[in-house]
Amino acid sequence: MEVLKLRRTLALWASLLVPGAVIVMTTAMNLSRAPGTRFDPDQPNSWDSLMLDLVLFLWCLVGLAPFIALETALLAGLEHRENTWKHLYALPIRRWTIYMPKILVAFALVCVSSLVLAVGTALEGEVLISIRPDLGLAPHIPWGLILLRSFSFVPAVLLVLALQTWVAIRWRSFTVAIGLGIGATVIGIMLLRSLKNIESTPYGPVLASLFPWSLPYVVIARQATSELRDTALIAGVVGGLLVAVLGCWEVVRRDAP
Amino acid sequence: MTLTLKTWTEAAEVSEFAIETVGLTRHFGDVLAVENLSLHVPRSSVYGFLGPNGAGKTTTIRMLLGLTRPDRGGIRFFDQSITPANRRAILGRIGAMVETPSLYAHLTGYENLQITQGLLGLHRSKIERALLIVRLEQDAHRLVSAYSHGMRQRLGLALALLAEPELLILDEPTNGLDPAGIQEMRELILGFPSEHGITVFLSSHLLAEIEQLASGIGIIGRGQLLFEGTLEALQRYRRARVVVRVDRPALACDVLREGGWTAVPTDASGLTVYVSEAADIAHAATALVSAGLQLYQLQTVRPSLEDLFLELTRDVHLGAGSGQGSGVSR
Repeated sequence: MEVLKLRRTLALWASLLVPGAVIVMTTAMNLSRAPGTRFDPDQPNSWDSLMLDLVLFLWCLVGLAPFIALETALLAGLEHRENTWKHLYALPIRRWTIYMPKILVAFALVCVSSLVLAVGTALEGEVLISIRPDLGLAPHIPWGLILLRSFSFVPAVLLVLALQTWVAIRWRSFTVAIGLGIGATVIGIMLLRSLKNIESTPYGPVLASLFPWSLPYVVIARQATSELRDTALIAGVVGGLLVAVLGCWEVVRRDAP
Repeated sequence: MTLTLKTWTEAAEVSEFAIETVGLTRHFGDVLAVENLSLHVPRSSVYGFLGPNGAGKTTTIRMLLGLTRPDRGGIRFFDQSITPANRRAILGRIGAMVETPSLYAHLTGYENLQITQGLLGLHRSKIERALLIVRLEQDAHRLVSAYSHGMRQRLGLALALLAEPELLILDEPTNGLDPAGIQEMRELILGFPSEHGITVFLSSHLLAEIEQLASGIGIIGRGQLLFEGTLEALQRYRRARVVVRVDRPALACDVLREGGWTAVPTDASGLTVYVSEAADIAHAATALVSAGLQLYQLQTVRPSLEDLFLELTRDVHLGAGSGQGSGVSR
């Protein structure tokens, strides 16, 4: 039913356009690279270099958080607009069946965006191979790798999804939810500096695993140890489930708006 | 003064109530929105919940539906109290429209109904049935954003009817409708008890509307129940006024007050006397003439139900109206 509500909205378009914008950006960046530079020659797989260092780096840093803020605000906004909450709360249904599907659908939209990223990267690769073969991108598209990378951080996203959903439902104003997403993005960028020195600074990994919006980045970061990656994934999933349940409980026990 | 429950049941021969509330109370901060409300809504009837804007009608309806938690008091539907265990079962027998209809403007009328149908696990055919009742079959596949106000209200009603409820709770269903729309809504609502056996609880701030629709009335003012009963019972509270013109109004007032009537001078030669029935007028006239006064004019003014309603809800409670001299308590 939640999916039916998304008809004629921007929800699905956003899943296409926001990651699409990242692809377009990175393609432009790559096309305009100075001649002589190549995708990291130390990497055994040049595609990994494209994916991790560029596409996913940009996506997890500045694309994902605003995207999630937008989608969750949209899903909540559908009800806020004409206060359909009062109708739903008066129905003979369990109230958590009004709240939880919003998180599930947002998660599905994130998965769609990852798929778009994967396909987009493949397309980008094709373009680069034909126009800039000097960049050294391997000629065969490694679909397995691309898909793996594109979906590797998705479980870690659950915590942010749960947080943003709670905020978007709890506060009627679209601005609050979007503001949170953008503010968190900025903080994430600043935390990145500590992540760069991940081996030398003790605080870096701690902050990274505590800040929900950084978790996806930690999963894909080259410098992260596998322990850190696992911590981030677990934190995302467990934290996400916890916040989802708590947020749901907090919202449904209140009077309907 | 409110009619007691006994009188209500005797008057309407009611044996079972669709809705009963006992001492329902709700504050919002310092404001007492609803105070000690005890309603009794008979089955298979149209009950009009009447009150001026801000009287507490919507708050009461929200409490009935569980949208707002009461501070105190109990609610019973179909002789059952609501518990977490039976909440869904009871709500399944109720259809509601609170304030404005809750619609997704970017979807069609049909899709709007589809969402509720899916959430409730109902069969698809219920959608067509609901559309047919509210006469929206032609426009079902248009976007709600293109609907007129009347169509939106009807779609809201269709949503309430979807699960074939036994009880409909409608908050000002004719709000904002033009006369044609109001008549349409009225015809629909009037048919529910007789054609579908549905009890209708509707709120309004327009007495005229309630007069046309309801067999039972509850009047709320400043959060309190001021009256509950049939329309006929309410009529009995309409005490006539007599405008009297005499040569000596001051003396006339004294004479009447001695006799136990309430007399209020209005101008240089006139005064108003409150009486309750025709015989009373004659007694008052006799008293005046016997006192030697010259009677120029004796005119009965019977207030309309609308005046009565306004008087009631202006923080004035009716005293026990019978015979002479019962003043209006302030």
